[in-house]
Amino acid sequence: MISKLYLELERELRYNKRVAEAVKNRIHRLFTEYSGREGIERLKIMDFCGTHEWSITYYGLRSLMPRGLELVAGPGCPVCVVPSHYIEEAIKLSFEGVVVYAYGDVYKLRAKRSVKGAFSLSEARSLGSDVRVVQDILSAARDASSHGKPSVFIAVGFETAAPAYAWAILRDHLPENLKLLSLVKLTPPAMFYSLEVSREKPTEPPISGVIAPGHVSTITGAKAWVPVAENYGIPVVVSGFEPLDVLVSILEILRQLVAGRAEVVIEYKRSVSWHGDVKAQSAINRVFEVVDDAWRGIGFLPKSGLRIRDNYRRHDAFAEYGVRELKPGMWEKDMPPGCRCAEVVLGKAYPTHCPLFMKSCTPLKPIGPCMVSIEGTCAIWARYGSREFLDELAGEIGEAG
Amino acid sequence: MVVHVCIGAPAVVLSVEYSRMTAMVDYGDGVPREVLIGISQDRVKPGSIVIVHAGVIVSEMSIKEVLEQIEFFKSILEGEESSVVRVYEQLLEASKRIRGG
Repeated sequence: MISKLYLELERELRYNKRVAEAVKNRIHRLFTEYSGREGIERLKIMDFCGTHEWSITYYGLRSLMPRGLELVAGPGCPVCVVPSHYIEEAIKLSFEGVVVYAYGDVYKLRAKRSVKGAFSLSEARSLGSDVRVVQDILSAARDASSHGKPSVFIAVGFETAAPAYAWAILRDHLPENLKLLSLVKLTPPAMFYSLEVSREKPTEPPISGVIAPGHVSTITGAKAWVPVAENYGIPVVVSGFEPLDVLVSILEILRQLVAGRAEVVIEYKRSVSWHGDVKAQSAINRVFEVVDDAWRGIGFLPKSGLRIRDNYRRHDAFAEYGVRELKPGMWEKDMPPGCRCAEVVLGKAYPTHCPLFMKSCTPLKPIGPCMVSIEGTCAIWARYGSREFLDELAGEIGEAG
Repeated sequence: MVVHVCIGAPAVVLSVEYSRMTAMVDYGDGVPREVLIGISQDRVKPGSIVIVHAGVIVSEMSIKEVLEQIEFFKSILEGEESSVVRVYEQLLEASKRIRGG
């Protein structure tokens, strides 16, 4: 009975046109009021999480926004920010006879340099390596214990994925032959960085509000975003993923802007609390230490990554298989030539600004990392289009006519 | 076989094995699947509605939280007519029944 009601609630949040219309009208009214009062024509709101970008694009929410209110995607695609170096290291391991377990999008991720002719784990597999696609760590653990060969799981993700890896270690789910290559990243440092970058270009409006990630916040708690609201003086709304969740979050950001407030508010109350899950946070802390980590196309961000602590080094692929860490001195731009994924990830450019987008780089044959993952902004725009896409098309038709 | 890394799927908990921190869940397709419990174990019981992300339970949803969210919706819409209210009333009824039973 309860689950049926939940389903009904989810349906309401997805298909209730009347409520959506009411929220949309309110967004328009508040935007007119705020932009008139402040004398601005454009306002940017960042949606941090790849799944929010998916909802916004898939449900065409940009087309409901008043002209001048821009929704820009942030660095919330964990696969997009895995440095090329680690993909190359994983390919190398696979050629050395280690069974490599990866999520489907990591499997397709292209490195900048090839290793023995393979640019990706999928290419390594076609050249004879044993690379297996899995959906979660438990499946990898089960499979690895069935064959007993040296194996590695490429553990990407944000705070949401980290408890799974921590519990897998703490509750002895990992067989001796399966090691974790922890490339887990923490989201607040990336949000700080993208907000900083958005202020660098005086011709562009800065980010005036943030739609904060929903499931990351179930673990960290909404409190993790307080420094963002306080340091940048902008509203932050932790949002659910249904279209109405996102619309209501945008409305709340505008309400705060009009009232001159900058607070952290939870819209996704059905899943997120203020303090998050303390037990999950403590499990993460027991297993992992926080390190300065490299983000693809961006560089090193302080205290933005998780590596397995020494106590658990027998599960650590870095220690056990001698995987080389990327050091700040080794850092180089690791995007393919011409690819603007790094700017797309930081909300500085739209996919349509990239010379490769839907020309040489497509979902079928991705070049840049943003085109690989289902959460990559380019992959989402390629599949479901966007207003910018349509504007461009309309412009061309207009010119032709 | 592409996993939405940030997305979570709601599921119903069928059984729990606390010693291994695992649970069997049903995503609504009738197929039981084993997942890890990522949150405090006292929040996960048979019958709980949970959010599962990449094979790990990251959140549990309670009636109270859903009601809070609907309150938030109502406050933000400032009384504009909304069928969300209807769902709210149904949930409230269900909650009363559970408390009563």
